Amino acid sequence: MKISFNWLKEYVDIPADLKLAELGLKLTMSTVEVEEIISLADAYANMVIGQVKEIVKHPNADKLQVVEVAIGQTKRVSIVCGGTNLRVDMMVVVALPGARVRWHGQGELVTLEATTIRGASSHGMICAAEEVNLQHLFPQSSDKEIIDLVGGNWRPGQTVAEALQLDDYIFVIDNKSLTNRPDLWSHYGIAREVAAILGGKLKPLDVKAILGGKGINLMVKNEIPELCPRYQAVAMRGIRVESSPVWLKQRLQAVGVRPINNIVDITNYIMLATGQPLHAFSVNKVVDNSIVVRTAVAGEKLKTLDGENRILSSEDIVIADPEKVIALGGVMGGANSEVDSSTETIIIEAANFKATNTRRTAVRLGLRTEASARFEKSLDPEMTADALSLAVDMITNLCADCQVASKIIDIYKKKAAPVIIQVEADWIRQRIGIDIKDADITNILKKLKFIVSNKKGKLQIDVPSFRASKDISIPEDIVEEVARIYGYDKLPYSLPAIQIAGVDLSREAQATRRLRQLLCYTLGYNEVYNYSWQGEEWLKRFSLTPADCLEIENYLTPEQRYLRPTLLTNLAKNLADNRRWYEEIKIMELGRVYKPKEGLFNMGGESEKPLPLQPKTVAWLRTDGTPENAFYTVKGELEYITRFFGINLDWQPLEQPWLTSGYGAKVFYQDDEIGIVGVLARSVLADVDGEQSVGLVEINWDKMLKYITDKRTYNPLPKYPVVTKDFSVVMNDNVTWRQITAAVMKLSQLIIGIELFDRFRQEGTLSVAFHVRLYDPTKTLTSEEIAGVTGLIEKELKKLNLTLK
Amino acid sequence: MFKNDLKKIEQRVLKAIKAAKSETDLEQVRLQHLSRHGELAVLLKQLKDLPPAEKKSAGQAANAAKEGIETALQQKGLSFQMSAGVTDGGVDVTMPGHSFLTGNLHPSTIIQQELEDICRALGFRVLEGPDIESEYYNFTALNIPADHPARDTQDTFWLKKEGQVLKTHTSAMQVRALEKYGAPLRAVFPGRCFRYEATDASHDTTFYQLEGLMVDKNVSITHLIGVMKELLRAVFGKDTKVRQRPGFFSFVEPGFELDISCFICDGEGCSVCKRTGWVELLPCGLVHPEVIKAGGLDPKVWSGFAFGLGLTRLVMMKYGIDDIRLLQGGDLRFLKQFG
Repeated sequence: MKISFNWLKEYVDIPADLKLAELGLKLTMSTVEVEEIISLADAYANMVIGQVKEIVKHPNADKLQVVEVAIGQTKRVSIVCGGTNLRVDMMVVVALPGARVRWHGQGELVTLEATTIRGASSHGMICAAEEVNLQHLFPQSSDKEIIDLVGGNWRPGQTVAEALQLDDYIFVIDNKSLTNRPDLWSHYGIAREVAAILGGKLKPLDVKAILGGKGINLMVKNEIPELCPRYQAVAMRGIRVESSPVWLKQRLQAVGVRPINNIVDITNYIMLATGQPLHAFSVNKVVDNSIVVRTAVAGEKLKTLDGENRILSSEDIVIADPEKVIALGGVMGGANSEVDSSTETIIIEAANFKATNTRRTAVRLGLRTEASARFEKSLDPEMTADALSLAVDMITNLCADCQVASKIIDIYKKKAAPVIIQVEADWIRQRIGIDIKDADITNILKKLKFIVSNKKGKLQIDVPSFRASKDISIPEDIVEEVARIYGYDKLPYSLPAIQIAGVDLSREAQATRRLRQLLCYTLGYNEVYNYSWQGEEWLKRFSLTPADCLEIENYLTPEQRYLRPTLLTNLAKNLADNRRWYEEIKIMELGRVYKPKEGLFNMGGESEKPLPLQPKTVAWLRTDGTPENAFYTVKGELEYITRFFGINLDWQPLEQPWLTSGYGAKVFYQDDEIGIVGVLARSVLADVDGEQSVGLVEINWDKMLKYITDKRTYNPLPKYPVVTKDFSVVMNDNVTWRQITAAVMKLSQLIIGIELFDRFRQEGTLSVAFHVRLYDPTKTLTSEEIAGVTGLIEKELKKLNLTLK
Repeated sequence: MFKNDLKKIEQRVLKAIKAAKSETDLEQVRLQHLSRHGELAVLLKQLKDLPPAEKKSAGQAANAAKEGIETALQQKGLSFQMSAGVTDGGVDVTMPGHSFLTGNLHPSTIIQQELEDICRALGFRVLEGPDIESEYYNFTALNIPADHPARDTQDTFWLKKEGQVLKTHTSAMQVRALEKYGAPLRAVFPGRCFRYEATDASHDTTFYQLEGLMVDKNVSITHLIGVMKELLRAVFGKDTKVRQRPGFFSFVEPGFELDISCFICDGEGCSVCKRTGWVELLPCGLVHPEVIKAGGLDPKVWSGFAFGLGLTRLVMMKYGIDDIRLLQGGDLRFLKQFG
């Protein structure tokens, strides 16, 4: 929203020595964020009023003239100009070197320099309206037409900014900081705040009572008082629709509103002054002078003032006559009742519409207007009366023959109850944390137009209607009012005294941090963050379908449609993407995956409803030589991590189309399947170069967290020698390593451990070599004892049909 | 007798080692005295014939002598090598050490862990919420009315199943935490958040926040400012000038925008702070009584403050990252820079 400083000053006294930047800062600190203060005059730097003294045809160009222009009592400059309407003594706008103009009204602004045009020197430019952005004041009929400053009291040399009253400053306010303040969407609203902040006097609006007139039997029926709490309207006749006076056009232009004609400009002016949107209908287009306020019938049509044909829904508030819709209430008027040059009689509407419906209509139709922006903030219904009176008064002043031609309609059945807040001054002090006197509290509130009575520290506060429509309803709101006007920057700071709470180290959080450290800083993985979704193509590569995924209702791109049921899809894509930069890649991710199954996110709340299952999951992926290498490397890494967390895992073969056949396993903790380990099938990354196999692990970390133990205890160092015997056997398909170890360990109490130390293939058969460690805690083993155990082991291995090497 | 002979041989050998003038000399000494037929070996053969009483100490003496000779030989040999510069001229210390493949945490993880440590030190517990959240906890419990624009499909990712959203802010954990732990409570909630919005260098659909919540008796605005100052001092490693100005969020009253003095220009005014000297850092405020109520507590007894730190923003500020999309892009050329 743009606020004109000159306009603001009409409503509130601002000390002359207060710097603009300081006023902006005070508003930012107490009320709304001032993003920028723009000097309008800056755009007209190096531009002065000139008077044409002499016109000579350019010696070398048919369509140009060399013009002598007075730009001061004695000072003259020579300018080459192609204007077709130049005459001696004409007052013109002269842009001198250094001025920024838009060449022929097109393209970017350029900075003028003194120059020579076809042999004649030219010290600046005599401007057309579009070249200096003044077309709203001086409509231009051809691009050769120079601004003709007729009828003003101007003198050569005067700056254009001063002459045309462009010496204003515009405060640009961030609309986001205004969302909860319907009362601030106007110059008067901001003036009220400025008065409260600076302690200056707020001048009352010059509202004159208006009396009903005769001639038009205006009838209004409000069918939806709950959506339109108040509807005021009056007819006026004797209107002459024409261009607004310069001052009015200048006012609107300064705050970014395009002038249209005097009637529309006045309704806009009153809205910008008071915050109450108004609308004017052309009476000759309203059937029977009869207005109905209702909701639209679904499918009803209206061509709005911007020329678009709109199809309406049953949520839209409309203004209609007995035959047709003539306006979208609170959003935009209809073209079928537009005020135009033939209009002689108008109906002025000042109404209040409910926020929700105007917002929904504006959003659905993509039609955010100055009016809808205000209504969707919940305007105060009390505002309509003043706004209507001011508009009628202004129209009467600007159109000599105009008069009120109907009674003044005011349908206002649903008047809101006044908001009264009871609060103790002590409580306000405690909430802010300062020792502010009762009198200072009440003074601040009074400056903000609250009515306050204080009975021994118990405050009764009547909230003004313009604050009660949305943002003030509870004692906490009063705390904010007092604190922000007192000055947030004046508040001291203190640290709260707290009770020591029970220690909650969160083992889960600690373990999660440890997991990341182990993977990244010990095993050398790079952590990546991926989006929570993936494209369907990557789902397919992992044999997943949309049925395996939760679906987003409103996605922006197709990739966002299906939430990830696994981390592997995106990690595989990461690997593919990074292959052109890196040969060797190790990446991990820790994040939630989402499953179309029910899962409680159990924090124990009463209003708890089940949410989808979304376990925190960890996955890692690495490039590594042969499939066998890749498998045993990632398995080894997983074993290292689970050993660290005191968890014993179990393994079962897993076949998946996206895993290399024979190189996949399900990972169990007891009977609970917690993840997988495997080698990616070549087909998954078929389009990616690279000879290396890709090992992968994915673990449901939420499950694994439950099984973490911390039972590490110390084993005494051996007192006697530990004997290590090596065995080498050729494996067969019917025996697993786990069976071998289980069988061997059972043979003797002297066997304290078995370690695989070599694994090799020869002509298709797999051989393994392993140490068996023997130890007796009571004495040194004799060679007979050792031989005895060794014999048992060999016998057992043979029993398993393994060939000893 | 044995020990005397040993002593004599030892001295003779050491003298010969000392006298050696080249590696060839030294090799001569070694062959002469220490080979299998050298005099030391011959003497040691007598060991087994000694009476048991002497055997042990003689053995020990023999070992000691042998070790002494070997050390002397080695050192002498080394001295020849060094002076001749034959094998080793040392290293070029400016050459890089061996490189190996290293891993590292994501920059957001690094900053999140730092923040968690600071918050724990301030007495806040760290809790994490779900990504898919119910409409109730994300909006309703936070006093965000049913027709609030934030609930629009234009701002929020809605799941196909009604009443579920990808959480738009970590504030969604406020009421969950109050329900579970009651009051007094001090907790922070780091987490992944989602917004339905077109992406560019400074906007992404996915980002991280860290929400903080304190609920206790008599919590005031000045407490909020005090805790924020301490938090930011720890985050930035120095006293940071802050200011708070009005800001509106449904779940706090009063609400603030907290700005910090621009860290690029030190408050002088630059392009980063749009010449204001201040950078908007975090929204905060006193917890709205409706939120306290939704948490099952009596707002007449309990009050509190909440703040929402933009974790992703902090990461970008700290490392000077100018495109937010890099953080979710998985490009190792970017990620490896944080190792």
